[in-house]
Amino acid sequence: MRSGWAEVRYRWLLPLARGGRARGRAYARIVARVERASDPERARVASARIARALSLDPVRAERVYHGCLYSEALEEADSVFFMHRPALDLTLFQFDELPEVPDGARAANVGTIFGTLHFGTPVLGYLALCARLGGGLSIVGRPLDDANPMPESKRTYARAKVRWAEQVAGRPFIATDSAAMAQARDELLAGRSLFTPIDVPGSVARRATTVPVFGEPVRFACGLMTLARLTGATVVPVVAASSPDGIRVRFGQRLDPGGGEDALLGRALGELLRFVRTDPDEWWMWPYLEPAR
Amino acid sequence: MTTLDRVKRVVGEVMRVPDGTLEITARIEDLGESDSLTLAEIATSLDMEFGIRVPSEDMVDARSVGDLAALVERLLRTADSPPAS
Repeated sequence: MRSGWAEVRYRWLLPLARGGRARGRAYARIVARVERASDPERARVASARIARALSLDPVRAERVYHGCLYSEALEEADSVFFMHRPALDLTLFQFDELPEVPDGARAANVGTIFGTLHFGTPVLGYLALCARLGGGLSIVGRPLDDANPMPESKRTYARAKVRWAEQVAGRPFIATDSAAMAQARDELLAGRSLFTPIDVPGSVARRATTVPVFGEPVRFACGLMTLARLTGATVVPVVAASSPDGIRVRFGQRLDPGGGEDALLGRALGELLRFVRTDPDEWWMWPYLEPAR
Repeated sequence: MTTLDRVKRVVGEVMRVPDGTLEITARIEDLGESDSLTLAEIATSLDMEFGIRVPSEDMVDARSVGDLAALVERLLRTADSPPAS
């Protein structure tokens, strides 16, 4: 992202979303248009992938790509809107039924790994789920350190968002280093749960595996599935997406950790890709998928 | 078999180091390809081997095989139940 545009986007435009969700939607429309125009090659690659994956004609595939840029920007706007409210208004969230905990996991008192996508509004989904579960849910995320390639203006916004999310959840983010992963294991074994994206590109992790995405083999990080194997935690796929009426949180089937982490990631993503098929323009990762070589 | 021998075996299996080649001073991070989940894997294997729960904050401080063996012995002493043999 060009630093001049990032500065305008995060320093000047995004704060307008504090004033209401309609303003947030206006922000998302502007950002989607600029982002689409500013990187034609990314647009071409993503649209071609969408067309192949969903058997769409080029015009519809481009609309889906535009929609995924809009979704990512709307997530920022919604976050800013809620960050400047005194409390998270849970009446705006609608939950599908949460899959039951199997007897074995309940008896062992092991937590759940809620695996999500870069889809819709994942952090708000985390906070709403946290409130719904009555706490005991931590989010795992890549640290906002110098190794994270985001522009400084975006990093400033992201740091404020992390502080806010930690305050609302009453729990710090869990990073992805050795100490954090050992802590994540402790959390699961103590009966607490984790919320984490599982569509992380394989190139940012040492443990990665190939999973078909609508027929195309793609590399994804699979470390969190190793934690499921080590602890016996079940995996519940979850997505949250915004609409003018509120935010809907949907779940896939609860998955047993048996059968190896590669297969588990495949099953979890298989569940989540059902949501992508229904709402492909909510998935931000279309431009960033890494085909397996 | 001593606690140290059992810890060496556990660490060797996780890190895929040939049997009998691990020294007490061997540092975990120097053994083969470790990543962010290696400590969690070793902790889980020690849990199973000794029938204890190895807490993460103690694992992070244990740098070598000898440190791990000392940690396990301390946890065994404070555990309510006797260690698995």
